Amino acid sequence: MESHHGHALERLLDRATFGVRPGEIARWRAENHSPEEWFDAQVGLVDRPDPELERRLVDAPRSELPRFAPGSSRLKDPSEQRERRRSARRIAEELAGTRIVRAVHARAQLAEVMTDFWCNHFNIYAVNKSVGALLPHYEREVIARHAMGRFEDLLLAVARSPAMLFYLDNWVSTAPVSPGRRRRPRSRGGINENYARELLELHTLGVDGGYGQSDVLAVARVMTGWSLKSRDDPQFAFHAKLHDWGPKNVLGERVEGRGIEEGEGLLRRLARHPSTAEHLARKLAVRFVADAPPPVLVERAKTRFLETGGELSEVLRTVLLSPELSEPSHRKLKTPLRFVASALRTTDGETDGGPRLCQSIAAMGGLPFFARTPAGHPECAEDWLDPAAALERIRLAFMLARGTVAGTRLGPVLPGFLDRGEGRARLRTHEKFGLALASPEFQWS
Amino acid sequence: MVVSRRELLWRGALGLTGSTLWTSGWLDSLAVPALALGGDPATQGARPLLVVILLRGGADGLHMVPPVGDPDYPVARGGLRLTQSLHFTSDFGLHPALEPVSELVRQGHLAVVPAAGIPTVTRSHFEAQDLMEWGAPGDRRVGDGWLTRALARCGDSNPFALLALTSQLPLVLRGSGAFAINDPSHFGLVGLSDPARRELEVLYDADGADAVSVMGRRALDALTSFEALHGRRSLSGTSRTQQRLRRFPRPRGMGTLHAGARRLIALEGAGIPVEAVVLESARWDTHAGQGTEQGAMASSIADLGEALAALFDALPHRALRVVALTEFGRTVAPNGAGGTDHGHASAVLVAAKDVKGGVHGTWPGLAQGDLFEGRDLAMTTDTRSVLAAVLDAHLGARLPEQTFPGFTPEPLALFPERRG
Repeated sequence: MESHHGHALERLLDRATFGVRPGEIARWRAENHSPEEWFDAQVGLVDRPDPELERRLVDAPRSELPRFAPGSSRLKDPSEQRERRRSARRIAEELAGTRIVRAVHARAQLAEVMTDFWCNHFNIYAVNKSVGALLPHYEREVIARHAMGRFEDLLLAVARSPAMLFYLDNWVSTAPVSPGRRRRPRSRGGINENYARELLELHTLGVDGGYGQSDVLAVARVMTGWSLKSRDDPQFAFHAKLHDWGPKNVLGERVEGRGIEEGEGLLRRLARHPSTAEHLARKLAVRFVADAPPPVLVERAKTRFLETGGELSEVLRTVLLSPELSEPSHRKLKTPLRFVASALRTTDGETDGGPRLCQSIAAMGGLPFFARTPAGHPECAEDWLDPAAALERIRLAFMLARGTVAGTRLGPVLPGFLDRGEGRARLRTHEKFGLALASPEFQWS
Repeated sequence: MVVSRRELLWRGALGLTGSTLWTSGWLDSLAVPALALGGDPATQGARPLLVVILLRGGADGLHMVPPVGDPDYPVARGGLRLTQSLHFTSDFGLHPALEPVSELVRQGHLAVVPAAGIPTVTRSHFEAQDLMEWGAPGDRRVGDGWLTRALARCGDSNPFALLALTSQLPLVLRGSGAFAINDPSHFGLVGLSDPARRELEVLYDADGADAVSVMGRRALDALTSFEALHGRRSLSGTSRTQQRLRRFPRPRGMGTLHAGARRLIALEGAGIPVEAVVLESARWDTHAGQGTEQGAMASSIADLGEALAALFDALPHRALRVVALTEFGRTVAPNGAGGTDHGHASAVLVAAKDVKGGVHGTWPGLAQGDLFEGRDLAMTTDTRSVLAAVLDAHLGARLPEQTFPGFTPEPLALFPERRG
């Protein structure tokens, strides 16, 4: 029994955290804790104070940046526009820096992993439309707050978030102008399908979830009026005058014109839809278990999603405590963020999430909120790997080991599988660390 | 020894015979400056170079190549109608931001297929981009890209023959083992001691069959060959690359494609034997504030124009062919935010010295009854027919049959008929 626990626990900690700190497995094993107990302990840590993490976040390098609202009154001066773009980018880069600090140092590891998962599921490209300025609020108040809660609440919070309203243009989507009126350039008035389409395709039902173009249009009409107070005051507001009050037909059901309630009802309906359950169950299984997860596992997670009304910690429990998770052939390639964070955690190192480390992760194409589409970063190995990407990991491994990444330091614990062979024994210490982190072995979990 | 067509092409182009090209350092043979080659440099003798440009997000063909001769254009396009455009043909103009390619146009080196696409009804970026890069709609078993199927062969040993100058390997090159190099200064392991490097190679030489081992081995092999020629430097650290980069100073606010073109020029100048390369840009999804002569779409179009101009300007010694395509076009009518939503057909651009310039394919028209699903430009040419013509020209032979499974390309008179 103990060895069963041991193996399952090892895999669980490897996948459900950003890397296993030295001694962690031994500690849990010594007390003969089961994977369930570890999982429950992690759920218990959600929203609990984490003073060490707080201290590190306060100490993290931060620039004094003007905090423009992304849409603040149209700027004609190109240098001001450039300034605003630069500021938005820097805000997002610093946010990514704090995400790395959290990944490496947070006690509530599972909550951080899930924040990462949902930020990526509901991705916003930070550079687009200078939306970066809204991302700190989006990450903490919208995503992290609901990352272990109910999917419905998460979906509604995202739909109301200024960042998403801005990024996918819903804030300018309004009831169609009457046919008699002539269209003018940049005329106010008219449907914008951008959010509606990604809501169905990416956020909820999935591309094969059983909707068509007429549903996209109907959903866009339902969501008209979900907007912002104004360009300069990016807070959620429902504008009844911009809403399309006509009846719609969404996924074969008639929706009467009732204002904001229509959208709320629709989002709840989408959140509970079997296609959504399946889409999310699969995505979670892909993230945690295998690039091609066993269909029976997806089915169980989907069932759990539906019977709990989308209670995310319960769906996670099904996935993370499944026998499929410990199946040895189910390997996952570490994403760039995971690769870096696990290098620091397994050696017992530390980071302030400074710009040099962010640049390294960006060079591998893996910085949070810097995936260029609403689909976010890929979850599967074949999307991440080409020869140059492999080389980039090797390069970064030796940089980390040499200590040339400012603000980031590997710890003293050598990941223990390399002290074989004479050639290796003669290497200098930092080279041994570099070699360990650069090895094919270390890229997988 | 079985020699692939590509290998023959590669050797033939170099005027090399014999079989020692790879193992004894494929790069050395390229350190020799341009080989004496006979015939018209535009199409003969010069080593072919194919550049595939992916315009991600849904590029608006009606903006790039406005159908100014179509009487329905002004009404259908409303506020997004271009009132100024460059002359292209009697019926089509070019967006003013394509001014950098006017010399190419004058010489008849730019061809446009204005209503092309992959036959599908999807308006999902991700699905449509997959189809654009797989080239096999309706067949989900296809797991690699059409460029891989057309050009890559297992065992080909020039690791830079196929290259993506992108941050991640695009699907169109999936399965090829090609490098995706976003920043050439990162290609290299400068500062590693010899013993550490040796141990690293031992780690990656241990017959690991996992994807990291395979890709890492390929990278280290390529690096070793590269270093045999240039010493322990990064790809951008060689003197030839640096010279080359100095000749093409980086303009302020340079776009993604222009920057990619500039990297390609530098690598080519350093003797990296590229045969086909993928560039991409992502700023085409103009749901709001698309602009007309100026604005968001215009700057993306300008980036494309500048990239094309830079490539043709800097690589006169290569038989360069460029094809630019997108996953779908955009709605004909503007939406409520001065933008456009996801549409259907769009324009495919082909630039080459041996292309038949001008407009190819049928124009479906913009009258309400002509539109796809009553809102989008209809599709009259399958993009794969355009790609097949370009690939045939590049290979100097018919493209491999499995490139577009189950698809018979429609003959387009884009390139002159080839002998044999």
